[in-house]
Order: sequence, then structure tokens, then C-alpha cells
Amino acid sequence: MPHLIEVWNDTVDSRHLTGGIAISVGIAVTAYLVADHLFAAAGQTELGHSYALLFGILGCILGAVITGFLFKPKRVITSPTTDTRSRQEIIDEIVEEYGDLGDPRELPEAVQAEVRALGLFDALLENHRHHVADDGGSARETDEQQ
Amino acid sequence: MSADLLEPILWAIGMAVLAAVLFTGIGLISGTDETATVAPIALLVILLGVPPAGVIAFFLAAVIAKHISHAVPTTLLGIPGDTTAVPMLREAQLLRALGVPHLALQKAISGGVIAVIIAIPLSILFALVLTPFAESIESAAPWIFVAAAVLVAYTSKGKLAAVVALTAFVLLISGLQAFILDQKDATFTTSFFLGIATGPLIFDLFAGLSPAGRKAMRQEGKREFALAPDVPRSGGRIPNPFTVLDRTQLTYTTGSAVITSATFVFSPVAMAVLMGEIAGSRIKNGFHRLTTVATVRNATTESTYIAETLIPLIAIGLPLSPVAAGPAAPLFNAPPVYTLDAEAGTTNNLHDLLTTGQFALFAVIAAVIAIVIAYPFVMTNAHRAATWVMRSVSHEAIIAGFAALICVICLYEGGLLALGVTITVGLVGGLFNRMIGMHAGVQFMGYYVAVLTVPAILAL
Repeated sequence: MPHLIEVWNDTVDSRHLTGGIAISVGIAVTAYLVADHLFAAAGQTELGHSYALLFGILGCILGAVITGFLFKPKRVITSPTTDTRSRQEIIDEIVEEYGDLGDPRELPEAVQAEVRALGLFDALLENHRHHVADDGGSARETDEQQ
Repeated sequence: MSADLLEPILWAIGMAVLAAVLFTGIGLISGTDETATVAPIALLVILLGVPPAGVIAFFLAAVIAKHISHAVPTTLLGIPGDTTAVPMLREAQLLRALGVPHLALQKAISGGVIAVIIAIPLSILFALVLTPFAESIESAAPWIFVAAAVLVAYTSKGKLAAVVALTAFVLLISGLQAFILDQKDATFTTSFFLGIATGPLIFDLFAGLSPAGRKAMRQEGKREFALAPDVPRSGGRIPNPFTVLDRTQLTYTTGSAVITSATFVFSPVAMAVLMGEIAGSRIKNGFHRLTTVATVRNATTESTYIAETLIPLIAIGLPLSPVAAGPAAPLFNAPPVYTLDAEAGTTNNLHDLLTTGQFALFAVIAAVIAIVIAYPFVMTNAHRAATWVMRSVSHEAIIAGFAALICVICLYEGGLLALGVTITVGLVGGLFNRMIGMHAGVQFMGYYVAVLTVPAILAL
């Protein structure tokens, strides 16, 4: 699809976006201006001005709903079961970014129970052992860098 | 209970229920910034003539509910629910990768609930302590604000660049204000806040108009979102935040809520980052650090919003905090209902219309209702709600709604001139945000430096 662009952290079709904005702004601004005019004509300036704002906001919502019906989301929702990487690979990636996730046996009782309930205990423990075994090598490496 | 109080209480209950339901829903939609959604709707509630009790309950219930449900897109989808959800994104994404996003969600919102319980009494207490010093705070405000603005800018992603860019941003605001005063003999507020809050959106829309920008924004195909699988929650039917969090997390959540109930001049995003760093640096185990930081950061979004609203309202009456300057601005100044004359220092707003006891009563009503509605809903329906939003609500519809909201509110505040102000502030602010990492929190501080500090410097 040639018209897909990223706006405000998600994907939209630029033609659909232009159309949606035209619809919503058109409805909302018209609703506000007409309401404001009618309230002013009826002699209610102060309060009428705020009621006109209410009509304008209702117009925004109506415009957004119409846009939503006309143009469907440009997202593909996948479930991570399609992720074929092993748990250890994922943990390794996280460790690289965040630092060692630590020995789950050092955690307080209640937290240990939580980690076990999540089924993460063995994976974290295995990863920790792996890191401890590696430690000698990596310590020397940092020494050389300094 | 006297009969006089019955009617305000009923207003508070009714408006809190309305706000909690409405903003639990809005919080599920990613990108719906607090200032751009809460401020205009609170303004509308005020202008429609809802009594003060209903207004304060509406506002507090709205932010509490929104900060509970904003954790849903943040933890389950890896996209921030709103501006204050950005700081917890990294921990949320990592926990999601580990396959336990539901844990991140439950920890985050349970932290939020506990922060609300702590922040309400503490911020009221703190406001009482500060009330005798209201005048000296007011006179020191220009200097406190500029110092806080520089600090917040420096701790943002932009570092020194954001501090230097603050000068340009402040001068832009000062210049626009002077021009508005010259042309209309009035000042605008909402147009500026709306511009800052929706800056990244306005910037993107302009970039999309230019051929070069469109080229850079082009996407090859539809964007993929991996929705984490639903995991049934163990334990009782009614969720209890005190059992969801462990003792360490309870301690850090309480501590950060206490601290952020007092530091009301810093932006909530900055405080959420800072509190998370402090808690994280003290926890040795990496996995425990992940869950605790997510908890503390979301808790901070609740406590800062409550404290930064209640303290200036109760103690001072002027919007001397980033939240009061942003989403809570209508509670201080919503002409013709609530008025504020910054130069003379005279006010007629919630500060004058409610006693401290009434603030406490309505805040508790709002908090209880928002928690009772939002917390169990999110704990049990998060997955279904997130799936529905992602599959059914197109991003076009959200952007179109925001574009219309910007137009209507600007026309309401000051016609085409106000619309021009919002576009100018939004375009420059969005550019600074995207290109040099000067987030909306820094820019709100910049607004108050322009309004408070610049006149004080020029008067030296």
C-alpha cells in the first residue's frame, strides 16, 4: 500500500487521514459555530458560549466515530506464540539491555513464590548460573579495556 | 452531616462516576495525553455550571481512573497510554518480552492505587503546612519555577540542548502573549496548553504535508503489534493491591508517593523517571528491579497529579505546579466562571469556593469511586479491552477527533488567533520534542517561566 505513513506513533493511510480530519473538523466546527450563533441570537451570550462548546465537542466525537466506521485500523495484531525464539535467548537479550536479572534464590520468600507461579524461576536460575560461569572471562575483558 | 452538604456530596458522587467511566475508557486508547483530554472536558464541566464539589471530584476521578487504565496499552502493547506512561515503557516492554505483561500491569496499577491512598491525605496535610507561607511562595515562585524548569530540561532526553532551547521556547510564548494582549486585550491559556500537549501530533501533520517529510514517514506495510496472551489471575475474585505488591514494592511506592506529594513544582514525567531510578538503583536483583520500577513509576503518575492539583488549590489559589499549569488549569482559571488575575494576585476559583475540609471530603469521594470503577475493571478486563481498541479503533479516527477538538477549543477561547497560537506552539514544541528531546513536561515549565519569571526578570 503506497499511502501508509507513520503519524503520532502509529500507521495511517494519508488519504484516509485527510478525509477523516476534513469530516471531523467540518462537523465539529460547524456544530460549534451554528450553536454559538443560535444561542447568541436567543440572547444567551455567556452560558450560550459554553453550551456551544459542548455541541462542538459532541461534534468532535461524532466526527471521530464516523471516521472510525469509514476507515479501519492499519494494524496487524499478532500473538507472541509465533515467536519461536527460546526463553533463554529472550532473557539474554534483556540482560544485554538491562543488566543481569539476578539469582532468583536471593529474592525474599514472597517474591520467589511469585516468580515460581509465573514459571520463570528455572529460566532465571539457569540464566544466572550461565552468567556466573562466564564471569571470569568477562571480568578479564573489562580489565583489558581499561 | 448537615443538609447543606448533602447536595454537594451528591454532585461529587455523580461527577466522579461520570469521570471514572469516561476516563477509564479514554485511558485505554494510546496517545490520549492527559492535558489534551482532561483539561478541555474539565473546562466544559465548569462552564456548564457544575458546582465546585462536582468540578473537583470530576477532575480527580478523571486523572485517577485514566492513570489506572493507561497502563493497559503500555504493558500489554508496548505503546504508552499517555505522556506520564512514557517513563515506565522500557520496564513494561522487557516484562512483556519475558511473557509476563499481566504481572507488569497488575503491579503498575496496584502501585497507582496505593499512591492515591497516600497522596490524598499527605498533599492536604502539606497544603495546610504551606498555607501560612502562601505569600512568600508566591513571591519566590518565579525563581523556583525557572530553577525547576532548567533542572527538568536537563534531566530530559535533550540534556543541555533542551536547557538552551528553553530560552527560545520561553521567548516564543512571551512574544505570542504580548501580541495577543495587543490585539485582543486578553490573555489565552488553553490554546497554549493544547499546543504543547498535542505538539508531536501537530508536528507530524505538518511533516506529512511536506513531500520531504512524507517520504521520511512512509511505512512499508501495516504495523505489527504483538498482543501478549491473556493469563488468568490467581487469587480471590476482588483484587487487593496490598497483596499484589510485595513488601519492598510497598515501601518504595509509599516512599515515592510521600516525596512526590511535597515536590509539587516538578513535572510528573520528571518525577516518575527520578523515583523509578532511585528505587531501581537500590534493588540488587534484576528481575525484582524490573517489576518494582514499573510499580513505582506508575504510582508516581498518580501521586504527582493529586499533590500538584490539591496543594496549589488549597494553599495558594494560583496554578503554581506543572499539573496546575496544564490539565488542572481550568480549576484555577475558566472565565467567566473561575477567574484569576495573575498581576493583582486576586482569584475567584476553587481555592476561594471550597474549604480545606471540603477539598478533603470530595477528594476522598473521587478517589474511592475512581478506584472502585477503574481498578477491578482493568484487573479483570484488560486483555479484552486492549484487543477491542487495537482491532476496532483506527488511528485515523483518534487523530481526526483530536484535530477537531483543537479547532473547536481554540475557536471557543479566542477565534482564529487562538487557533494560530496553538498551531505555532504545537509546531515549534513538537519540533523541539521530536528533534532535541524536549518533552511536553519541559515545555509546560517553559510556559510558566514565560508568564512568571520573564516579567520578574524584566522588573529587576
